Amino acid sequence: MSILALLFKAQLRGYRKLLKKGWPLVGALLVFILLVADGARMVTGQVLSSACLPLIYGVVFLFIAGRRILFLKYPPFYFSLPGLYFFLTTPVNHRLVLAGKILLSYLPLLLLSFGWSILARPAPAGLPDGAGLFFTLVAVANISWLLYNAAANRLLLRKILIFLAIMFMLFIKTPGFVWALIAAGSYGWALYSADGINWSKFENHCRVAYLTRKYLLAGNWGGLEALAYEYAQPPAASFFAARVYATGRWAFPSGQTLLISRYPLLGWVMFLGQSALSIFLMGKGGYLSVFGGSLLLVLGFVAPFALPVQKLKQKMGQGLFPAGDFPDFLTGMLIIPTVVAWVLLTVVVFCVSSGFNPIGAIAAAFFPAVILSYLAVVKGMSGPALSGWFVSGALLFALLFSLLCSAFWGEAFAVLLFFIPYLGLTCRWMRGIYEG
Amino acid sequence: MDLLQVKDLSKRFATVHALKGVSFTIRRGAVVGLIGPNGAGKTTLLKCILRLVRYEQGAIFLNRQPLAGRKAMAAMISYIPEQPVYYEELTVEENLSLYGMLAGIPRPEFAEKKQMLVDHLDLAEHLKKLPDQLSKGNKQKMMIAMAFLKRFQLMLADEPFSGLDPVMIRRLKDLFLGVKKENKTVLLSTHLLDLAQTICDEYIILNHGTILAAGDREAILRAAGASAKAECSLEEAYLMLLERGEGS
Repeated sequence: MSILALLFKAQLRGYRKLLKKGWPLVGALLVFILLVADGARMVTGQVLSSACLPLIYGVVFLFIAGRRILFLKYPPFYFSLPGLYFFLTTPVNHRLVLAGKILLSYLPLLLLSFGWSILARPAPAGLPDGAGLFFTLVAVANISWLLYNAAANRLLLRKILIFLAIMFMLFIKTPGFVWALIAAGSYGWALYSADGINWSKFENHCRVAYLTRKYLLAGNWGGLEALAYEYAQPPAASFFAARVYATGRWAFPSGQTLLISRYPLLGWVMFLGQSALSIFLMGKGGYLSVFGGSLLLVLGFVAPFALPVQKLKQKMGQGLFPAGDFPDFLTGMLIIPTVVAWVLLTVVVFCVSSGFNPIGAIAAAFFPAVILSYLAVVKGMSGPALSGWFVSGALLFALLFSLLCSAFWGEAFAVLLFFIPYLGLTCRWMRGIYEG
Repeated sequence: MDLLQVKDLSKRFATVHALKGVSFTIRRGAVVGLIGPNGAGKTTLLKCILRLVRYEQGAIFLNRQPLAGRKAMAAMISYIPEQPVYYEELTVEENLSLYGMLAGIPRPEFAEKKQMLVDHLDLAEHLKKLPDQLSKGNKQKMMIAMAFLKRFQLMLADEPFSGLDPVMIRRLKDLFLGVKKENKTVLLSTHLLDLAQTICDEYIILNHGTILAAGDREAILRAAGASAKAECSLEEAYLMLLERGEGS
């Protein structure tokens, strides 16, 4: 069997494993892409005229170029760890391997740029826009790779100058062929300077990316934790932790607040972005949109609020015995997420339903807020696997929410019909875990 | 004749000065033990020689030539990494084949070497298994087989005995001694000092990025101030050197 055949075999088996273990994640991603695509078509087709497209492109470029050039510490592509080892310790032509790897890394950029452009303006009219967008993204990716490997001296100054130059080129609407020339030139430069690659840094980042994927697929929470511990910066001293000493049932929300306060800024940005998009989707009406919006809302909300429960469960596995009993744990873990969800969902109700006055909206948001918080606790207890929890939770929430949008009594009925049995089943299961 | 020469090598990672002006020479056909506590800079030194780590200062010469392109370097050096690295989706046999092909070993030579290594390291029953189905020791044996498949002049081995049972340690030791007979060179990083004494001709004792002592056993004992009690073991000399914390 040839080298390429063996590498292809390894890739194929890797994808098979990914589909086998991570199908809920892949499924959720596909649903997300379809919903975003549908939303994008609606935005560009109905609300925005084609005159707005350059503005959208500009904002997208600003975001991508800013992130890639100014802030990103990571490479634009990764080798698998074994790939890197096999390639670095054997006399293969490393420039050739690098050339292939960089070209392969353009594939998502190709799909993104042509996908978006065709959505914005159906083919063939959208194709030139797609090509222009593609070459711009490729040029930015290549430049970020060169900066990633550059020596540290005056790096920030170089980054700022390059970023400003890219912004200026976008401002004067540089044609696509100029971006193509820059992309080709920077690609050639990346290959020419292959001997100057900072392999130790690159190997380190490839290792983290490879092991994260491996542990995620295996549901190996301990491995992820060890990896995070090895690579994460030590947490900053917390104002909260230094002043609050809570015992008994209050230990749960205080510990939760401490962990949530350390949740990364990017995570909160994602949370807000997902919440905004879910409100937009729910506002479209129809069961599919409400379900899609709920899916996003659940996904966005549980990420920060399931974390403290996951951490506690993990510590219990390592020998911690919390002072409170199961009702203390459950109520303690529900307080803070419920308050946050209540505020968030009141806004949602205002935006998507015209049938409520302010007091009614606040009241109507209460039950879904409790349910959303409860789903975060269930998710925290179920660990990193998405499994059936995700679909059942989102379905439950979508049903509740669609009823909520129509009538308060419908909501109360749905709570009785769907949530109470769900609560009974999951509470029993969580108590079993909590009490060992 | 000298095979590897390292001159005034320095490497700094953010706040850690991993190597501070390290210099040494290794002659062809020698097995050299690289010994030092955790964090002494042993792996960094090996990675500098492999050009996996950029160094700020110094030079490395192989066959009296500066280390040139990666391809030329990879053709001369074989490496056993500290942690096993393999394609988890390929079987042990497929991993060995892929490595052999990438290393450019002709098919008959590959088949002969593979058979010898598989027999010697008791890997025959594991060839059709995926590496993740193997124990830590068997994964390590696969990595050792890969490194010995390759043609090389210098082998860099980073804790190669880790996870091996006594029988396999003995067999790996035989492999290193076989390499020595072929006038090839080994730079062996290990914590097993008793074992190092039975394989190595020379030693480099490293601590906090500095060489405390280098040379054969007698030179190490002298550096440790143990000339009066020459019956002391390498381990005792090593501990004395660490306690004194002196540079060579």
